[in-house]
Amino acid sequence: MDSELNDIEIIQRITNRDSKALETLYDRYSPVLYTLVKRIVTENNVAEEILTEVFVLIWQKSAKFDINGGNLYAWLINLTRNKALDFKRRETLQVTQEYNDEYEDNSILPVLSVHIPSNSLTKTLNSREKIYTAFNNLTEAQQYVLSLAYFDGLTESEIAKKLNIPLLTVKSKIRVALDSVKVNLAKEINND
Amino acid sequence: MIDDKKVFGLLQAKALGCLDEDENIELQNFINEGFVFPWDELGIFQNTAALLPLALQLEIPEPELKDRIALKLIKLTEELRAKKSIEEEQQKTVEPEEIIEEEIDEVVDEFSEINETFEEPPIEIETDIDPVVPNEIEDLNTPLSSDDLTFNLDDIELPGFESVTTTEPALPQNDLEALSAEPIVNTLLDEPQIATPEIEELKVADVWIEPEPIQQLINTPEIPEVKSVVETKLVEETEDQSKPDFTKKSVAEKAFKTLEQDFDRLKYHFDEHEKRLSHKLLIAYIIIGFLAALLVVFFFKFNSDIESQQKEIDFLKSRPTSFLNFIEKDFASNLFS
Repeated sequence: MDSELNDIEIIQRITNRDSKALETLYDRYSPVLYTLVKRIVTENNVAEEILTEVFVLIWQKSAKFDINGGNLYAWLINLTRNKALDFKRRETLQVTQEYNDEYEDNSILPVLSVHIPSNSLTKTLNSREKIYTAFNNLTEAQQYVLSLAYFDGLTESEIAKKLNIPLLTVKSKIRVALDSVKVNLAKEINND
Repeated sequence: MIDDKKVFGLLQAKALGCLDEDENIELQNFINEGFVFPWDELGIFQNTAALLPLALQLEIPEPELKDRIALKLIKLTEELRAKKSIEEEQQKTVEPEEIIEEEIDEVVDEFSEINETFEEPPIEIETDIDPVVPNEIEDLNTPLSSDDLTFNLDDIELPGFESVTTTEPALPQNDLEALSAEPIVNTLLDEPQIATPEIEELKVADVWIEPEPIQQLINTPEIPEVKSVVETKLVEETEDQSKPDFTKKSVAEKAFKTLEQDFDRLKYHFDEHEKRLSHKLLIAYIIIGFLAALLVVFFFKFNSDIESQQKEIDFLKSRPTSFLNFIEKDFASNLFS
C-alpha cells in the first residue's frame, strides 16, 4: 500500500474493505490516537484494548464518515476520544446504557460540522510546534479547564463542581481558552 | 428558546464535548427548528479542539498491537461470515416451504379448473392434464450435458434439479442418498385432494391397445373422428415415451450415473492417451534401433578404412625411397640439434 495516499483515499479504500488501507491508517494515526487514549485511561493495556476497538470500529463504520469535505483527522480524534471516555464512564458506572449498534452510532461516532475545515495528520504534524506554542500561550487555569473538559470528559457543571467555582466562570474560561487557541494558531501560521 | 448570541457562546463547549445535557438539548432543538446555525464556526472550533492531543508528548503503541488488531478483525470477519451463512441457511429452509405451499396452491387451482371442465369426454380431459404436470418435472426431462458433469457431488447440478431441491427444505444438500424426486412429486401431485384419479386411469395404452375395433370402425362413416382422437393419443403416447420419467428415479441414482459416465470418459481418455504413448514409444524404439544399426555400420566401415590406410602407410614405409622416412629423420635431427 503506498503511504502517499491521502486520508480520504485511505478511508475510501477501508470502506471498500481494503485491509492494507487500514494498516496504512494504523501506521499513520496509531501514535496520536494511542497518546490520546493513554491520556484518558492511563493504563497501557486498557489503552491498547481501546485502540483495538477503535480500529475495529473504523473498519466496521468507515462508511459513516462523510467523504465529501470531511475531516478524517478530526473524525478519528473525536471517535477515539468518545470511545475512551465511554470506557471510562462505564467503569465508574456513569454510563449504564446498553452498548449496542444504535448507541455506537449515536454516542461514539462523532457528529462533526459539515463545514469543518479539511485537515490531515501530515499537515497537523508539520505544524505541531505551532500548535504546542498556541496551547502553551494559554494561562495555566485555561489549560487546566481545557484538559478537564477534553481529556477527562467533564461537563461544564462537573468542572465547576470539581473546582468549586461558579459555572459561569467555567463557561467563560472554556470559551476564552478555545478562542485563544484558535487565535494563537492563526497568529502562528500567519507568522510563517 | 435560545438566541443567536447564546448559540455562539455554546459553540466552544459543544466542540469540546463538555456541554451540559440541558444546553445540548437546547442547541439541538435550535438546529432542528431550522434556525440558521453557525456550522462554519462550529467546524473551526471542532478542528481546533481536535488539535489538543498534539500538544501531548506522543507515545507509540507496542508493535504487537497491530497484529492483535489484525487478528481481532479476522476473527470478527469470520464470525460475521458464519452468521451470514447461518442466516442464509435459515432463509433457504424457510423459502422452499413457502414455494411448496405456493406450488401446491397453483396445482390445486389448476386441478380445480380441470374439475370444472371435467364434464367433457375423458379423452379430451387427458389432453388438458398435460399442463398440470409441474414445470420442474418437465425440466428434469432435459438431457444431461457432459459439460455439467463434475466429480464433486456437491457441485453436481442436474438441469431442472435445482428447482426440485428448492422445493425440498428438510433435505441436506450433501446427503444425496436422501435426495429423491419422488416425495416432492408426491407432495406436489398428491396433496391437492382432487377427485380425479381418472388422470392415472386414463392410460393412453388403453386407447390404442385395441387396434381391431379401430379397423372395424374404418368402414363406418365416423372413422375420421375416432382416428383423429387416436392419432392425438398416439402422438401424446410417443411423446411421453420419448421423455424418460425422471420423477420416478431417485436423484442419487442420476448423480451416480453421471459419475459413472464421467469415470467412463476418463477411462476412455486414459486408454487413448496410453495408446498414443505406446505408439510414440514404438516409433522411438525404431528410430533408436535404426541409429544403432547405422552406428555399427559406420564403425565397421571406418575400421576397415583405417586398416586399409594403415596398410598403405606400412607399404609406403617399407619402400627405401619412402618420403615418410625422410620426414621422420629430418624431424628427429631438428628436434635434438
